[in-house]
Amino acid sequence: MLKEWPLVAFTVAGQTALGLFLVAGLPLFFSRGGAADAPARGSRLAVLLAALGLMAAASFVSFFHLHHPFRAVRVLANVRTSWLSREVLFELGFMALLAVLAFLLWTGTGGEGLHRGLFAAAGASGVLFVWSMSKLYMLKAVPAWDHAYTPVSFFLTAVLLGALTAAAFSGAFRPGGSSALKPLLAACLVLVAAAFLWALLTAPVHGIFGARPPASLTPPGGASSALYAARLIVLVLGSLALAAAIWRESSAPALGAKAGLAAPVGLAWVLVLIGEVLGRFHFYGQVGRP
Amino acid sequence: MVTQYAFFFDAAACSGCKACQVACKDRNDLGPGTLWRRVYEVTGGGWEKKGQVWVPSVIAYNVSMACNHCENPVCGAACPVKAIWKREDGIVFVDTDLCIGCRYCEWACPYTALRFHAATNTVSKCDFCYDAVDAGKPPACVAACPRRALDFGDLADLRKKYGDLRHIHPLPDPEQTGPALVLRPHRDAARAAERGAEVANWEEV
Repeated sequence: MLKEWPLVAFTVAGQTALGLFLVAGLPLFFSRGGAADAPARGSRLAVLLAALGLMAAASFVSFFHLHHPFRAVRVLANVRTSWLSREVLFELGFMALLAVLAFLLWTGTGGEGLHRGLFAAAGASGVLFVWSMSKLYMLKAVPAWDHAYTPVSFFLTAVLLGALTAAAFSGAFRPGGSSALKPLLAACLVLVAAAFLWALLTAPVHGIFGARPPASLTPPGGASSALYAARLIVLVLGSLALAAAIWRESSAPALGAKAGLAAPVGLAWVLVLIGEVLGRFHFYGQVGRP
Repeated sequence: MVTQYAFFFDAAACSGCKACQVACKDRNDLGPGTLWRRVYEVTGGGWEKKGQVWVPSVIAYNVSMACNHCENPVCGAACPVKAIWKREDGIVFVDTDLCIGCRYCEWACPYTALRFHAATNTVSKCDFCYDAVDAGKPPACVAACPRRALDFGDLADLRKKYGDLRHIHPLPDPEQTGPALVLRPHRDAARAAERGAEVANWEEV
């Protein structure tokens, strides 16, 4: 299970990149006012570069799970039937569109229509990237992965970590605060609750609460109930940190954004990230390798 | 002309001696931990109350399994670099010069036929001893079985000879991949699922 760390890092970072791009980028690109002013363009650029950086890191670390990484140039050879090829195709498309959009914003070229069109295309490519990532694990040979648990968990991780990363950036780097921060924090809290409930709902499929997977020739994985429980505990702690941030923001808005929010939001981000990483290790631990 | 090579396995005859497993390792020079053919020990049951009497309901039989050179090999469909391909006579091969070692096919195959091979840093699997078969000889596992529990040949011929059973517990649903496999069941196999029988020798296979 621990040997799958490159896949854990790749999937969590890639999903966070998509979530950050959508949650932070949508209001910036499609709200009224456009990109006429320099601060808005700077914010757009920051979101794009952060998402691109995360995708680049995810792509780099994914090579560590290959035993012949230099042969990976052929990885698009089987787009017709392989979800792994499709995942890489949409991953490259997402990254390329992010890079083109960032370049246009950096150089100040292209109109608002083009920027929005590229944003929509990048978003579609990113969603297809995470969808392909989900489908490649939905194998008939692996009943623990072959149901809604996989795509729902992956997209939940994307939106949750994307929103929290956006909130953490907002809390840490905007001394004046952001009017959107409170609803964003509230949304994060709801998403953490959703992740918690989803883990509870799907527990029986994954051998928790005494349930056993059907007999097969696939060896059992090394996922432990302790890992599952640790994830739930960390998510609860993360939601408490989020609640503290919302309370601070509500009770002292003037002071909140300056110094009071960075710590609880940052702590929530770290805790939820740890929770999602533990959850992903548990995911890969469902299935053993022969 | 053979259109689809296949294995026959007689679970009723298999004693679990693992001569097939060892013959395969020997012929293909497979190191420790790499098995192209495995013998799964399936066990379950215990005691069952019938009226006022407790009677044993033990399940115990063996399943010798290699690559089934499926009619629809999901390993090949999953492989991103097309390193897994099927010959005209149905034998499925791994091209170790193309394989990137992502090991995705290991998860995709419900028979766990694909095995990581440390010597080449790629996946590997049963190649049906194609050079022996091409020379008119049997695969090593078939030749080694002292109880004639294994046989090979064209799938259509094997079906004529032995029937068309392709599934016993705990093998996967054959509709997933269309395995080129014909089975004769052990008498315990019919009740194995209801009695919770499972593979007992995971450390070995």
